[in-house]
Order: sequence, then structure tokens, then C-alpha cells
Amino acid sequence: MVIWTSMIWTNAIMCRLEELCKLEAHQDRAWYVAWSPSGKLLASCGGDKAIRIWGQEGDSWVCKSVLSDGHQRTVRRVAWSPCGNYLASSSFDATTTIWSRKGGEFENIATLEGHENEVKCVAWAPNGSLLATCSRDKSVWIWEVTEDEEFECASVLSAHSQDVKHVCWHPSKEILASCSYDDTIKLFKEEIDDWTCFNTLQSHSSTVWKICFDVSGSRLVSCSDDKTVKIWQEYLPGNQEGVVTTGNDSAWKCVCTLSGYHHRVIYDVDWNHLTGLIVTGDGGDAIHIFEEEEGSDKNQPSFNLKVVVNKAHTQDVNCVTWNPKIPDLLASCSDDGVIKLWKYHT
Amino acid sequence: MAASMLQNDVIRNFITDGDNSSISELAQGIICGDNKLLELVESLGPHLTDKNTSVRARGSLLLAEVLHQLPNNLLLAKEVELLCTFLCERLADHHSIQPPALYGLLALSNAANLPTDCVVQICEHIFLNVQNQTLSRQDRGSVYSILSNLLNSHTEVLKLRLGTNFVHGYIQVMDAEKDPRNLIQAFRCASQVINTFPLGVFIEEMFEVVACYFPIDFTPPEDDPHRITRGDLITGLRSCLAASTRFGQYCFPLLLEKLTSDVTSAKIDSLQTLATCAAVYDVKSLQEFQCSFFNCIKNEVLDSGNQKIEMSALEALKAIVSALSKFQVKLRSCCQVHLNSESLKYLPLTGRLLHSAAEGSEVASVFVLGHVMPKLITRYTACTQVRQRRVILEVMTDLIGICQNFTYTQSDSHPMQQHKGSVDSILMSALNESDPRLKLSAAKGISAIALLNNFQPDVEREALVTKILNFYLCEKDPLIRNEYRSVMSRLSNSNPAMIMQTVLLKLSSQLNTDPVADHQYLFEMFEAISTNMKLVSTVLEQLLLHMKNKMSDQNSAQRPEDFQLITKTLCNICSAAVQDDKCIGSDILLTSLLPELLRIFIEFSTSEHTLKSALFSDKVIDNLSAVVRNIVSHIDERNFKGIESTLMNSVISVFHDNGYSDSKKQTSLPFRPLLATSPEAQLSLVPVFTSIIASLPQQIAIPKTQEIMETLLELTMHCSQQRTSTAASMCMAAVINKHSELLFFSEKAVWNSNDWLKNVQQRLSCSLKEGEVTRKKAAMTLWVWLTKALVLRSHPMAVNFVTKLIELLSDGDMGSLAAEGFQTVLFECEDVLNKNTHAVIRIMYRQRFFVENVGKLVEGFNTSPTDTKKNYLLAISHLLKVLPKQVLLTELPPLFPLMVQSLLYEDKDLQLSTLNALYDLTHDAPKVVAQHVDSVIPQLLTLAKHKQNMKIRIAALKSLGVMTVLSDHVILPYKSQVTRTLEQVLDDHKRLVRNEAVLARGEWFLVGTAQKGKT
Amino acid sequence: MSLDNANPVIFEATQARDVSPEELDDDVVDPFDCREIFDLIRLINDPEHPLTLEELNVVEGSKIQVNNDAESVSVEFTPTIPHCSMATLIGLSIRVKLLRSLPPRFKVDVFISPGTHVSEEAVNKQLADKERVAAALENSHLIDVVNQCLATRR
Repeated sequence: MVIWTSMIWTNAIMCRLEELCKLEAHQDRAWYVAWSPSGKLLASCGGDKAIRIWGQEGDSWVCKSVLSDGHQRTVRRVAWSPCGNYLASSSFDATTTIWSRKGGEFENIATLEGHENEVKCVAWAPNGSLLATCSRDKSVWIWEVTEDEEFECASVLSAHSQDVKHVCWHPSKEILASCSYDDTIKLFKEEIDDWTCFNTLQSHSSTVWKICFDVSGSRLVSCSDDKTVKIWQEYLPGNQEGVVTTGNDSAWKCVCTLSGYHHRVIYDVDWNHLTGLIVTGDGGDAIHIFEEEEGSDKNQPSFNLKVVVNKAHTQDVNCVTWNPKIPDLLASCSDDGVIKLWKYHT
Repeated sequence: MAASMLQNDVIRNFITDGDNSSISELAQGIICGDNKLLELVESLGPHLTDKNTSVRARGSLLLAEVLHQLPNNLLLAKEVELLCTFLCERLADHHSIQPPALYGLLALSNAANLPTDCVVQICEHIFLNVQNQTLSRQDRGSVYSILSNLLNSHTEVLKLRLGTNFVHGYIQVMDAEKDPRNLIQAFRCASQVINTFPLGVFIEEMFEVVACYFPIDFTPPEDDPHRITRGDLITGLRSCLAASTRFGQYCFPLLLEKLTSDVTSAKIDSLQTLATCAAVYDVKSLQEFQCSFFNCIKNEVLDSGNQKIEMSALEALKAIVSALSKFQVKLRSCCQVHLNSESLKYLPLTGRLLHSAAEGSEVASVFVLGHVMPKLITRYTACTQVRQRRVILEVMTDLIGICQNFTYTQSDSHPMQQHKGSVDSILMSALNESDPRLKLSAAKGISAIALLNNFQPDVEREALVTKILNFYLCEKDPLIRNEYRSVMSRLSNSNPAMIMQTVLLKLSSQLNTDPVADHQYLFEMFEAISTNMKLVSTVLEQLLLHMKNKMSDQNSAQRPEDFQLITKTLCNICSAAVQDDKCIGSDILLTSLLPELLRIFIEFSTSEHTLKSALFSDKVIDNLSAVVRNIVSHIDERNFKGIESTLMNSVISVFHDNGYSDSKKQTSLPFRPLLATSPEAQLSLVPVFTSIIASLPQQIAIPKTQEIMETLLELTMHCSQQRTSTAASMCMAAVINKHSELLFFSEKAVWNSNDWLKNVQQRLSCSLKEGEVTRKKAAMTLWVWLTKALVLRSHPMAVNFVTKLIELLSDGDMGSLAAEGFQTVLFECEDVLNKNTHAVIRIMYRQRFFVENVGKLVEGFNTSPTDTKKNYLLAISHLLKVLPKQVLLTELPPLFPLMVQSLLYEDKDLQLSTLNALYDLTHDAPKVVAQHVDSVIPQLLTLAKHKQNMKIRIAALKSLGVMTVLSDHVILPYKSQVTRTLEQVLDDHKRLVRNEAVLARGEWFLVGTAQKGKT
Repeated sequence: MSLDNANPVIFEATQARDVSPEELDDDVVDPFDCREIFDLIRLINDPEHPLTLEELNVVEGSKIQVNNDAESVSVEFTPTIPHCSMATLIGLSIRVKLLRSLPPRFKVDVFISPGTHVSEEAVNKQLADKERVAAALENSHLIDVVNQCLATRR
């Protein structure tokens, strides 16, 4: 395995993050923010059990609605459906709630029950017909979305040995990736009627908190309690590099480890599908932005730190996410209950 | 026969109409001799033999009621006998007649002239005819009371004439009693019976009839008016069980059985009963059970994890060991197991077992030490871990400590003798370890050895004491120093001569050889050994000598804290000496220390000396005043020997009459401390003068009161030094408070305090109206103190002074001083006008003050202009702080809105005072506070972040924390707001504020959870 | 339920901290120090015994580090015995107490003294996972037990 550790900060000086606005969003920690597919709305959730929807009015961002009656405990995660008409929220109360957006109003149309305890993440497949959830009960559930807004459990995956922190879908194929407290990343696909794990990615030495595909889906970035960010490269069967694969499945290799930048656990990483920039948020209150060096070798790429904002928030940064339409717009949220919007300047 | 007519009417009304109203009239008639009791019985005759049982019952009841109202020595023996026979016969009558008959007999059982035959007769009839279990609770109570009365006053008769028959009868009576009130009485009788009667063949039955209640399981109903507790019943029962030496064979098996119960309370009760009974029962039965008991006790100590059980078990063990001189086999095996076990896990607890066992008797202590010490020594030496060594050493020193309780004059040698060498070397090496707790244990061990009796020759002990003193002088750890001080203190009690020779000498030489060193250690040791008259006087001598040396040393000017330290030490020694009855102390203090101290300070105040600022600093003078106050207030009132009048005459002569002359130095200034124009050093001695005058017992006359009061008045009004002026005011107030015209009748001209007061009132009123500010302030201070003096004794003129004080609240200049004055008036002051200094204090003066003045204050608040409104609020807040709870609940509701307003005023004194009041009120009157949380909590949160003043932040946080005592439904809505706001306060720049924020926030997190209210 | 360690060695409690003149001066900034942190956690009740963590020597002043500039606090604790089943609960109580008592700007690490517990790594990992801690605090049974440990005995 080739690991290239980039310890040198280059060109970080020229770029900067400008704080556009600061929203006192939640009365407890803010766990997550999610852009709607159009990039015009932002949903947030947190320890105050509420979900808030934010939108732009003139120059400022305001709270458009508050969804406070869906969950009994912390709302850990929110996710927009690819069409933008549904919002899913998962909570420590062991349920996932589906909200339907009609006009400006959100209506609770379904509650998905089945996990034994905290649901930590929910994710829509790109075609909108599948939904994945994961929980501290170590399982990943896949739900089918029927035409008439019904949700049926299609599979329960018990591949992880500890709680599953995050699930995300491949941008174009029906592949699901998950990461866990057991330090691994797992890839799942559907095989003759059922879903199976076909690849386990091991390299992190502690909890993997978050993973994200790049726009092509041939790369994956992960961040961990071990204070590193790792880039994983897909190698198709019969690849030129001679990486060994099994059957029809690709192999995934860690090709780059970014260490030394983060001093505490990294909670979130997001790969910008428009610009290729990678952003991280960590338990040291900082936001980092990395860019792949031009012309770097695909098999051992170099990533350079472009920007670091050390006191981006007054407490842990729990989430950082790029706007899907505006390439330089970034949202973040933190234990301090605040959401911030940032503009990235090169 | 008007009287008989009345009698007949009463009888008829009582029997047929149930009218009880005239009974006492009837009884009164008999008491004055207007009626005869026998006549009453005659008139009652037909009713007492009526066919209708209810008429017979009413008739008997009437008789009984009358008997209860007669004094117990009114009836003659003959009359008692007649009535007794009659009532006893009624016991055999219809069952419904029994209750009134018993009630009547109850009255007779108290009669002074109860013939012995009647005593026997009553008991026999009760035992024969009364089925106690069929009676009501109250009537059973009558039976117990009758028996109890007879047992109390006629034990011998009952023993002689009834003997075991009484025992048998009583067993029948008490059997199956269930009512807790009756049981209390029944237990009392039973223990008397067991104690005094031959139990004979009934011994087991007697035991069973009481033991069946063991262990007591009783929870009093919540609103029980009789207040009988589980504890009362336990004590009653236990005294029965411990009333006979022969109960052992029955009781021990019972206790053993209950000891294995799972119920904690039953265990504790069994252990405590065992401790009580082991001391009483014959040794034989205890021997039989000792092994079983030991195993139980051991298990409880080692495994229960419950402190109360453990303590009770250890007490029981101690009692068993005391009772049995040879209780050794078991101990030995137990020690062996746990002392040899690798983990040392059980060592501390085994240590406690051994401790209790060794405490039981001298023999036991010899045994325990003989067996355990060698093991401990070996283990200690073999052990490398500090933590384990500490555990071993603690057990060791604890066991040495026990030897202090015994003299070992009977034994061949002291049980510590053979371990002396090894223990000594262990202790000395432990003292050199770095671990502070190990060192502390070693220090305790050495101290324990120094305190052993008949252990080492005096020379050796002296050497050890000297060693300890040397350790003390170089020890830095305060806990260890404290340990050394306490051993010296104990030795100074038991062995003063040795302390005098070794310790005192060494301390004194240290004090003099090393003039610059930090002398605090020495002073603290001086204090520790001042436990009896001889030592006190020598120590005081040394300290005074030292002070004089300091005074003649020019370098002392650089070290003003030396004087503070010496005077503080003098003060501590005096206050301990005057409280200790046997030492007293107070004569030497009064005749030598006091004059000497005064002389030193006066001498210096009249000379030109560079040390003045160090010597006459506020702190030194405060200490000096405290010394004087302690001595003067403890002049023994019952035992005046003329010393006090000599003292007073010379004090007045020196302070007031310019009577001081210094024989040595002709150049010195005159001493005129009560003249406003005198030098500063002299004026600063006025508080000392006040301490003398104001602390005198009431009976001691002050010569020249009138002149002194005039002088003090002038001084107050003209002196520019505030401390002096205030001290003079306090002095006058104390005189006024204690002054009694009657006391001075022997003097030629009686000083009329009322005239003086009127005069002063007028003069001060003028000064308060106009005049420059310092004058006004002085007048204000005096006014406040006089008000306090008058209010305390409820003097008729108090009302004038208080009214004026309230008026002054609206004075622009003096208003806030007047408001503070309310605090002075209502709070106890340490220096003067308190119980210790013999002030005249009427009870409930604060309540009276509140009731009389709160209306005026509220009225004043409503009508006064905005800028002085806060003064009224401040005064009210002081008022609220001293009010007792009962009064508060009724008076508070209308005042509370004013408090809320006070919190909003930007005035730190007012806010602080209100916050403090609020804190108390939340405890005392939660319901009232609960009605205002909506305005109080947000304001408290604002004040918790108060920028300028940390005291306000702290007080606000305290009040916020205490809000959590209110019921959940009131405060739960604020939980999230409070915890979130306090999160910011956790980052206050002051640690003391943060501490309070942590406490308050912690409490608020528990609101709405199961833990709230348990704390 | 039987206790893990029925008869622990008991240690003496520290005296209350003396108030210094600087602490009374509103103009002086008092930094957070080890003693202050120790005072926050030493009175936490042990879940099993009627004793405090200080009395059981589970927490010690010398095993606390505070860095005011880096805004970090670290606390090492020592379970009474190496297989103590309460280690996680004790750690959680310490963490929750500090969560409630320290300004949130401080980064707090709570972990077992190296080499003193059989499941040291697993316990440390759990205590460091703030998501699990947050979820634990919403579990009413668990929070009751923690609150019991944190309730001050007076």
C-alpha cells in the first residue's frame, strides 16, 4: 500500500475563507446541516430535538420553519431526497422520520421504526428509490421507497462489529458505503435479491466518523478519531496498476493519508463535486480545506492545505458541507449551536 | 341541704342526660368540705345498684371522674379502702362497668393514703377479673397506669405479698398488646417487674412476652400526635431484655437468629441489643455463644459495607470482650487469616475489629497487641509499596493508641515493651518518607507512644517529647504539626511539670535566640500547652516579656505583623482560659495580665516612639480589645472580691481623670485618651476602654458615670478619627443598655439616664439637621447605637429613636447610613451589646421591632422621592433577614414585591442585602418565593453576570442555586434557560464566582430528575 | 447485587481550599488550575460505595492537567481494582460533571491511568466518543445513575 503523507503546507497563504453569516440555530449543540439539491435551502438539526429550515431573504439567511414535533431525543442527521421534495431525519430516539415538503410547509408522512437504539445517519440513494439508515445497534438498514410514499425494509446488514456512524451512496452506482466505531469502512451492493458487503477498507486506527465519494465515485475520502484524513482509490478488475481484485468487484486502496494537520478527532469531511476541494471539520474547532496538487499521480496523489480557520467555531465543528450549486459556498455547524456560512476565496 | 340538692341535680344530669359540665363543681365542693364524699356515694347508691347496666356504668363513671379531680392526699385511708373495695367489686360486674371502675381505681392508685391491703386487692382483682385483651386501647392504658403507679410506690408490698403471682398476672395482662402507646408503658412496667420480682418458673414466659416484639418494626403514622418513635419502642424493649441477668440463655439465640436477617434495621437493633445485654447477662451463657457472635460480627464488619452496621458490630464486639476476660481463640484465628493475606484488602477492617476487641479490656489489649504487633511489624518491613505501608502503619498506630486507656499495673510488663525497638525504628524511618499520609501516621504513632502510661521512664519520655518538639519546629505539613500540638496539649494536662521543663523552656529560648524567624509555630505551640493555670501564667509571662523585647527593638517597625501575632495568641489563650472552669485563669488574667498589658500600651502611647504605627495598628488594637473583653466579661459575678472595684477605679482614674503618671520617664506626654485633641496613638486606645466598660457584668458599678458619659459624648462629636468616635458611641450605648437607676442608690447623686438621653436626643437632632458632614455622620453613628441599646432592652424611649431613624431614611446625605443602621440595630455585634458582655436583651425584640416598624417603612417607601426609596428597601431587607420563620410566613407576601424591586435597583448594597435575604427566604418561605419566580429568576440571571461586583455575582448564584428547593412544576420551565445562561458564568474570571456557578448549575441539572430533593 | 470491591481502602479527604487575597480581588483574573478541577470531581460519589472518588483514591490532584492557553483539561482516573465493572460509569460521571462545570471552550479528555484496568482501551474509546456520551445523557436510566453520583451529599 502506498501512503503519501503531506506534512508540508504550501500555497495556503493565498486562499481564505470569509465568514458570510452566523446563525444562532439551536439551543443545544448543532449536529448537522444539509443543503437542498437546488442549493437554496439549508436544513439543520441538533440536541434541542428540532429541525430548522433556513433560506435566503435578500442578503440574509433566515429560519423559514421549525420542525420540532418529530423526535423525542436529539436529531442526529437530516438528508434531502434527490428531488428535494422530501427530507429524512434520524434521531437518538431510534426512529427515522420522513417529511414531505409541499409549498413552504413540511408534513410528517412516515416514521421508520426498527433500529434498537440511536439512528446515527440516513441517506437517500441518487435515484431516490432507496434509503439507508445506520445505528448504534451495529446494523445498516436499506429501505425501498414505493410510488405511494411507503417505506419498506429491504435489507438489514449486520457486517459491522460496532456502532455504524455514517452511510453514503455512490454518486452513480447502487453501492452503499458505511463507516463505524469498529475502525472500518464497508462497501455493500445488491446481489441476487439481497445486499452483501463486498469490501472492507481497513487503515484507520480508530472510529471512522465520516466518508464521502468524489464526483466520479472512483475515490472516497474518510476522516477519523485517529486525527487523519484518508483518500481511497478504486481499482477495477484488470486494472493497469496490477492491483489484485476479487471476481467482478473493484479493490479500494488507501493512496494518501493527511496527518499532522488535525489535533483532535475529525468529525466531518466533504468532497466538493464542482471544484474537487476537500473540507474537514474537527474537535479542535477548526475548518481545513485541501486541494489536490495539479498533475499529481492518481496512485499517490498529493493534497495541499489551502486554508485553515482555527477558531471557526467556539466549540467542536460537527459538520462542514459544500453547496451543491455554488462552488465556493460552504456551511458548517458546531457544538456551540451556531451555523456559519463561508465563502471560499482563491 | 342546698349542697345535697345540687349533688342530686348533678347526678341526675350526668346519668340521664350525659351532662358532664358540673363535675368539677361537685369536686370543688368536696375539696372545700361543703360536701362529703361518702354523701355523694350514698346519693349515687340507687344508680350504682340500678338494674340497667348503662346506669350503673354512668354512676361508676361519675364517681371516677370526681375522684380524678380530688388532690391525692385528700382521702383518708378508710375512705380509700371503702371506695377501693367497691370499685374492685365492680370489676366482677357486667363487662361494661369495667372501664369506669378501672378509671376510678386509677385515681385511687395514686392516693397517698392507699392501704397496703388495697394495693394487693386491686392487683388481685385485676388479674382475676380483667381480660385485658378484650378492653379498648384506652382502658388497657388505665390498667398499665394502675400497675405502674402501684409498682412505683408499693414495690415491696407487691413483692412480699404477691411475689411470682404478680409476675404471672402481669404476663397475662401484657400478652398480645399491640398499641405503641400502651407498649411504651407496658415495657416500662415489665422491666420493673423483671428487675425486682423473683421470676421463678415464669422466667421463660416473662421473656417471651416481651421478646416477641423483637426486633421492633414500627413506622409512626405521618401526623401522629403522640410522637412515639421506633426509637422509643426499641429503648423500652431493650431495657426489658437487659433487666435480668438470667435472660442470656433465651435472648442470645434470638439475637443470633435476627443477626442473620436481611433487614438492615433488624441487624443494627440486634447488634445494639447485644452490646447492651452482653454487659448484663451472666458470663456463662455468653461464653456458650461467643463463637457464633464473633463470626457474625466479623462478617458484618468485613462485608456489610454499611457504616452503621459496622459501628454497631464493633460496639457489640467491644462489649463482649469486656464481659469475657478470655475471648482470644477466635480473635487469633481471625487475625491470622487477614493479617497474613497477601492483598491487605481486609487489613483496615480487621484493624477495626481488633481495635474494638482490644478496647474491651486490659487483658484483651495485651492479647491483641501480643499477637498482632509482631505480624504488623514483619509485614511492614517486608512491604515496598507506600500505599500498603500506610495501611499497615495506620492499624499499628491505632492499636498503640488503645494502650493509653489502660495502666497495666497488674501485668508483668507493658504490652508495647517488647515491640519498642522495632516500632521506634519503623516510625522514625516513616517520618523521613515523602508521602504525607505515611508521615502523618508515623507522627500519630510517635504521639501515641508519648502518651502511654507506665511505659517508659520519665527520662525517656522527656527525651521523646523533646524529639517531638524538634520535629514540630521543622515540620511544614500543617496536619502533622497539628498532631504534634495536640499531643503536647494532652501531655500538658496530664504531665504539666514535664512540659514546663522541656517544652516551655525550649520554646522560650527559641523565641529569644532567633528574633527574625517566623514565630507562628512557636506561638501556636504556646497556645496548645496553655491548658492549666500554672502553664497559662508562665506562658503569658513569656509572651509579655517577648513583646517588651520587641518594643525595645527598632527593627520591629519593619515587622508590624509580629505584634498582631503576639496579641492574637494572647487573645486565643485568654478565651480558652476563661472558658475552662478548672484552670481559671480569670484571676491571674484580671490581676496581672490586664494591668500589665494596659500599662505597656499606655506607656508607649505617651512616649515618642517610632514603633507607634506598628503597635497601634487597627488589628493589634482589635486583638487587644478582644483580650480585655474576654477577661472583663468573665469577672465572676458571684464572687466579687473587691478586685473589680479597684480595677474600675484605676481604669477611670487613668483613662478619664488624667491619673496616669510614668515614674520612669519624666518627659512623657500626659495620657488623655478621651480628649478629642489628644495624639492619635492615645485616641486609638478608646476601643480598649470601651471593651472594659461595655463588657462589665451588670452588677458592677461604673464610678463617675455621668462625667464619663459627658466626656464620651464630646469625644464622639469632635473626634476626627472614625474608629475612636464609633468606639465612644458603642461605649455610651452599652452603659445606657445596662444602666439601672436602682443599682446606684448608694451613690450620692444618682445619674439620671433618661435626662441624659433626652438631652442627647435634642443635641443630636440639631447636629443631624445642620452641620458639616463628619459631625453629622458622628451624630448618626451615636444615634444608631443608642437606638440599638434601647431597642434591645425595650426601653420606653426606644420608639422615639426608631421613629427618627426611619425619618432619616429620606435624608439625602444620611439616608443610606440610616439604612445601614437597621442592620446595626438588628444584628448581633461581636464587640458590645451582646449576651457575652451581659447586655440587657429582651426576648423577641426583633419580632416586636418588625411588627412595630414594617408598616412605617413600607409607607415611607411609597411616599419618599425616587432617590431615597432605596434606603427604605435596604432597611426592609435587613429586617427580613432577622425575622423568624413563623412570623415571616405571614408578613412576607405583601413585602415580596418590594424585594423584587430592590433587585432591580442599581445599588450594590441594596442588591447584595436583598440577595442575601432572598437566599434565606427561599428556604424558609418557598411558597411565597414560588409566586414570584417569573420576575426573580431572570433578574438573578442578569445579576449573575454583574460586571462590577463579584459579591453580587456570588450572591445571585447562591440564590439561583437555592431556587431548586422550590417544587419542580414551578421551576422546571426555567431549567433550560438557567443552565444555558449559567454556562457563560462558568467562565467568570473569578474562581469564587465559578465555584458558585458550578454548584448552582449542578443543582439545576437535577431539577426534574429523581435526584432532586435528595441532596 | 454484590459489590466488585466490598472493602476498599479509604483515603482522607482534602481540606477546603484556602481563599487567597487575589481571589477576592475582582480585578485579578484567576486562571483555571489543577486544584480547581480536582475540587470539581473529588466529591463525585462512587456508584457502589457510600464514598467519594477522592476517598477511594480514584481521582487525585496530581493526575489532572490544565492548560489555560491551549484551553485543555485532562483527567486520569484509577479504578479501585483492575476489573472494576464500574469504570465506564465512573468515567462518564467525571465527564458529565466536567461538561456541566467547565466553560465549553475547554477541550476535556478523561481516561484511565495507563495500566490500571483490564479494558482500559475500550473504556477510553467510549469516554472519548461524544456522540455516545450525548446519547447516554438522553437515556433516563443512565442519567439517573450519573445524577446519583453527582448529587452532592450535605
